[in-house]
Amino acid sequence: MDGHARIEQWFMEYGSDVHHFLVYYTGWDHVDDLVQDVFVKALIGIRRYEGRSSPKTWLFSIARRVAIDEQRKRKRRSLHASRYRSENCPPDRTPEEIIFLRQDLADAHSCVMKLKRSYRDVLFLRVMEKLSAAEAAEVLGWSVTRVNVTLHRAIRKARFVYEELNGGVGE
Amino acid sequence: MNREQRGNEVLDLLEAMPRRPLDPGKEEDILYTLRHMSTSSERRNGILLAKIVGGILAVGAVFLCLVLLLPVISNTEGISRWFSAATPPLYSGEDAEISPIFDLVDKEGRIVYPDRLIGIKSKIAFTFDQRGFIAKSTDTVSKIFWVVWGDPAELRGASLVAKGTNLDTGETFTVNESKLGGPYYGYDASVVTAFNSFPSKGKWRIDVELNGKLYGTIVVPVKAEYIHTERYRFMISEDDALTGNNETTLIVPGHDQPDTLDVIAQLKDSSGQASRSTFRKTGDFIQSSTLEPVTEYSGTLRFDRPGRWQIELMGEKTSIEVK
Repeated sequence: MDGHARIEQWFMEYGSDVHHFLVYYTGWDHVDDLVQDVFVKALIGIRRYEGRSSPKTWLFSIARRVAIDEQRKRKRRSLHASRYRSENCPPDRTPEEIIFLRQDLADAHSCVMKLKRSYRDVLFLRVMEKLSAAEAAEVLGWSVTRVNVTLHRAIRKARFVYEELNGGVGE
Repeated sequence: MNREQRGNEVLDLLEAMPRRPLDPGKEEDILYTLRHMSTSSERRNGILLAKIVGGILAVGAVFLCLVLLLPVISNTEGISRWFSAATPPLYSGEDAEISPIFDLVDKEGRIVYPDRLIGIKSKIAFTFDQRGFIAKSTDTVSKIFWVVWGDPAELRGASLVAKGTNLDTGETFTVNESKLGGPYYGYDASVVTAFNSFPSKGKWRIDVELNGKLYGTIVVPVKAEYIHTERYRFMISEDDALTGNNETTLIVPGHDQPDTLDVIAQLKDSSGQASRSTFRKTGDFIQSSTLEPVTEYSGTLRFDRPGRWQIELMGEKTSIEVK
């Protein structure tokens, strides 16, 4: 099968998984353009894929890169805009944020989003996406040990932040 | 709640995040983009290869014809017999039935788009929107999804060749050549592609071959060309021009055009009845198929009675039959 047919097939199989991951990883509601970017990049870089990993982990590693680049771009843009904003104007709202129907899910998500990047990486990949430690290591380009250690720390930190959010320790 | 339980809660919630799949319409758009990208470099190689192969075949065919015709040319009876054998078969567009139109459904059988496919249910079909196909237009054939039912393993990678025959005139052309990809919504194989434009109006029979074997035959209606003069085009087929008001878009080549254009429609009989309508500029665009700059206008073509009407704008004329 040629590269294009393969990417088309992977898009059918994993397009929605990549979309799901990107929505929560970025915290944005509309990530269709990012999904397209991921598969366009995959199409261009298909030669680099050859047998290195499963298509899913390869696509997730591209998705993560695309998300990080886009977040940086938007941050730069909003910094630039804020320089020219008059003091009386309210700051730009982020209309793109995911809308959760349940408050507990919104709390859990915002708590993870407060953590540093590496903690977010392992929590989204290992817990939400249910990837194995080896798969997450492939996505992140880390060793399996580093994934396990980081996950352990991330869970501890997430608990701590979540407790704070819910008004302190124990009842 | 104790500390340990509450700590685990955040992980449980993270695991329970609602599924956020791609929107089906968006999925279609992205597939289209991917497919479109894939054609640019391949097409270039393909054209070169086709030219070389085509050249070899053409030389071979001429040589073969000469060899075969030599004995025939030597006696006249032979010539008449040869010509009668070459007469094209009769086509009757009247008898052929247009293929059924049905819903596009997802994996669970839920309707994604109602009445969006034309073809043979449970065998092979392609997307067909309400505008229908319009002769010589690229925009009505620019984004087509084939969907195929069957054994996905056998279908994947199969080469699809669709040949069209105009059932009214016998004219033929290659509608599409593609390679089947993986499953799509509830279908076992699919490919997104663009058809070549239908060269003329009428009922077209499309014979679809998969790996060289006939897989199914689909009959589609194709409407008359867009109403046009030499340089200007209304985005309405002559077949859709009806008595009364016809709201439409007018495409004029180039940018920096005037804000309004007057269009005169005149009944071509002794009455000389005429109506003038003003089209207003709606914007400058680049035509995606040709990358040419164009200006779009919107307005209404008014025909008070059925019959033959002449349309005139900026000194150019055309005439059409209004139902």
